Amino acid sequence: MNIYITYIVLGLLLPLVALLYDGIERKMTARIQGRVGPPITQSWLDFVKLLTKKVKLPEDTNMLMLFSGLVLMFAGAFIPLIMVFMRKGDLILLMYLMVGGTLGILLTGLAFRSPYSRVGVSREMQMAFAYEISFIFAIVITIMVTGCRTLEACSASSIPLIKWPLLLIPFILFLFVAPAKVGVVPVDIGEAESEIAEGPFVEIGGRYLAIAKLSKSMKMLALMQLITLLYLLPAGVTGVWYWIASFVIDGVLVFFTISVVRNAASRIKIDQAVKFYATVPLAIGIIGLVIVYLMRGWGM
Amino acid sequence: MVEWLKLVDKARSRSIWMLMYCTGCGAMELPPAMTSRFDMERFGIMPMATPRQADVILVTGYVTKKTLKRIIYAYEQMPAPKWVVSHGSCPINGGVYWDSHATVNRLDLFLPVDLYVAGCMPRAEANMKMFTELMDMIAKGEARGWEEYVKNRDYYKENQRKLFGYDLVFTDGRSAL
Ligand code: SF4
Repeated sequence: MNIYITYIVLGLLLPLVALLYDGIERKMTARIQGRVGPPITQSWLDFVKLLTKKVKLPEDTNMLMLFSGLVLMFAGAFIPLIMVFMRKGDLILLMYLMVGGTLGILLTGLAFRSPYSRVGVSREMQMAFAYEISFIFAIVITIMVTGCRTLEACSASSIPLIKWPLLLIPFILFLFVAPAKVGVVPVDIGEAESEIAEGPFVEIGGRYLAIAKLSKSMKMLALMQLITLLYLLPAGVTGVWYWIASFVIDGVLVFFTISVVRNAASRIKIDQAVKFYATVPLAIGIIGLVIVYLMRGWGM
Repeated sequence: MVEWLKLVDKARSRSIWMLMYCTGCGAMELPPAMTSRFDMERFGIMPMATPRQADVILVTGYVTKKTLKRIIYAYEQMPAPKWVVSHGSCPINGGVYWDSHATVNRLDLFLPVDLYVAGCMPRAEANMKMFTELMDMIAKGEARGWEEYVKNRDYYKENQRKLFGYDLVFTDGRSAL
């Protein structure tokens, strides 16, 4: 009984926390650019405003596609978020769910006939092919090194990165993949506002956009917490300290993988991005997999 | 219920997404308002790329017959509640182009304008005043241009028909507003 109440409370609170992290990220970006920046509650206000707007869609919208896309997008962010914060669940399932979230974006874009959304979908798909492989490599290498397939089993008495130094390979892969997966500036080519007007989201507004934005921030928080759990946080930390440590480390990760990257680079072209993701992270992934495979033979 | 509506108005006033329809020279003064000197994001005001996600359409500068058509299309695509801000003297009374054959002198004949900013061009300080004024109006629930547009639809449509010579056709049929 108790566990259900925990899940319900978490399910209500964690999306709000995710929106708060979005606000914190915007504040940090603004500070880096020398601006005052919006209040950290800005994303909540945006969410309320979007929820209370009237719905207006083009007449020839494919509603089935739109709804399935939004549901996939939401589920692909919400369930992983609960899983990683409860430290329960299967890593492979988590991987599938997070890839499913990307699929949701594609379906949403395909519901409209606007050429912008079609271009956005095509770019998003190319990007997904480029970076999701590295993401999968990262998870597989982690499983091979630590030997645990579920989140609760990955319990090291000390910091995982120190106990298993080989985890540095997937950790670096995650750092490469994080900006692309969250969709921030150097690699948010599918949603480029200034070029193709938000890409797949060009025709959605109001509460549909609210769900899309919420999913995006939940995905960001879930990814950060996944990195924290797998590589940075000792399993011995429980109770209140677990929550405090998680949220602090998540904030630091958001700063380094999202804000800094976003302000240090301008948006690159789709072929540059695909070329980058198909060479550097992929090479690291393949070489890392070979190294881990050989080392395992020697009992490491 | 009323309290809740007030809260919603508050949220709306603190999160204004603008579709910047930069037709004329007045757009030049918007970049300072966006960047670190004046920083409009501290009020939650952001530029948006598509009318579906925008709350405010900002018409900066002179309006010709051709651009007016696009402005009306963009305005009708925006979901309510939505606001129109006319920026600079040109959309108010024609400005320096008052006797041109190509420009439309008064924007408010064709769209319900909520706020006017005079000046040629309005400086960045005037822009900040415009933003705060607009926020106040929205928070108090005074800016209700989109309801005017529905109520006086015949009037606006008649004016548009007189100017273009035909009805603008919209395929946007899912909602009445
Ligand atoms: S009001 Fe002045 S600055 Fe603005 S568009 Fe007209 S002429 Fe240009």
